[in-house]
Amino acid sequence: MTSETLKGLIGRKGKPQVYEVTRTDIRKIADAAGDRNPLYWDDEYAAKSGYGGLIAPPDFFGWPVKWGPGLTFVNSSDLFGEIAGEIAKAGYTRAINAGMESEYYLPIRPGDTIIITSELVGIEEKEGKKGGKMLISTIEMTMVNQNGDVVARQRHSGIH
Amino acid sequence: MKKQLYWEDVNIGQEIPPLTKVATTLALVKWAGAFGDYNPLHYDNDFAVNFMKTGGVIAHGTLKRQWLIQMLTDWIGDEGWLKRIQTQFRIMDYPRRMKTLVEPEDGDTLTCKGKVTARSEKGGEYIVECEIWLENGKGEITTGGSATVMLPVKK
Repeated sequence: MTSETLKGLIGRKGKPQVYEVTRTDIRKIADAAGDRNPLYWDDEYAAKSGYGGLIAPPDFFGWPVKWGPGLTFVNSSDLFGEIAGEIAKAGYTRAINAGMESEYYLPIRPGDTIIITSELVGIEEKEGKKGGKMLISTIEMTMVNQNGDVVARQRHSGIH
Repeated sequence: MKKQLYWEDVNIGQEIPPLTKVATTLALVKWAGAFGDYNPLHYDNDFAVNFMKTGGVIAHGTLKRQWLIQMLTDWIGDEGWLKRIQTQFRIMDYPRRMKTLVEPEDGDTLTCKGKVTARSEKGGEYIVECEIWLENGKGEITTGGSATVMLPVKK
């Protein structure tokens, strides 16, 4: 696969993922990070805060964005998996998370339905430090809630 | 209620209260499950060594980032809002293995740190810009980044 063919992947969109947010999901994420912030745990406390109720931590929307429900790393139907499959044909079989940037506009709450769309916005071949080539991919995701409001955007850069 | 930070009380160069964390194999598996990142790089040592050539399983960038987020949300309080965070994963962090069901082996402790780089008022929003990073036990910055937070003002 040539550099040009790789570039042709830019603009590829993932199938929108729908995520119904529950208290349990919020607490699983907070617990796994070791974060006891009462805004994620304590309904009564959160109700008295400016949010008026429980919220999710920022960057909450990991699952099922990366590898959808029931799917494994190597057998995915979403954009990350698709791109991984395509660029593997060009000899890039590994992937490392190089960086992420998020912007948060609105809190995510239990009961919300978040629709996540993703698009490959960049792909670039570079000379690696140790010689040989490397590939940088950038995927942008947009999270929209049930009211049609954009709650967050996120960009992921991968090194392959 | 937790202590609230106000925009007026923040100065350029001010340090964000640090947050220490220990990456353990247990923590990585919990994160993989909760966040939905099933990449075997984070729990299968042979895969990490033989295929990924990382020398062993490594901590998720997303987990290290979540710890930096926690440092920021602890600091800005309930009335603060994290608007933006950007992180670059520069050096790999290896988890400690578990010695018992609850206790890890001795090893690296990671510290989230940050400092204020700018303060501004724009369109009624009171903004603070920060540099943030994660240090390993040797004092190397394994994750670098920046963040923008919005803070309340005193009435």
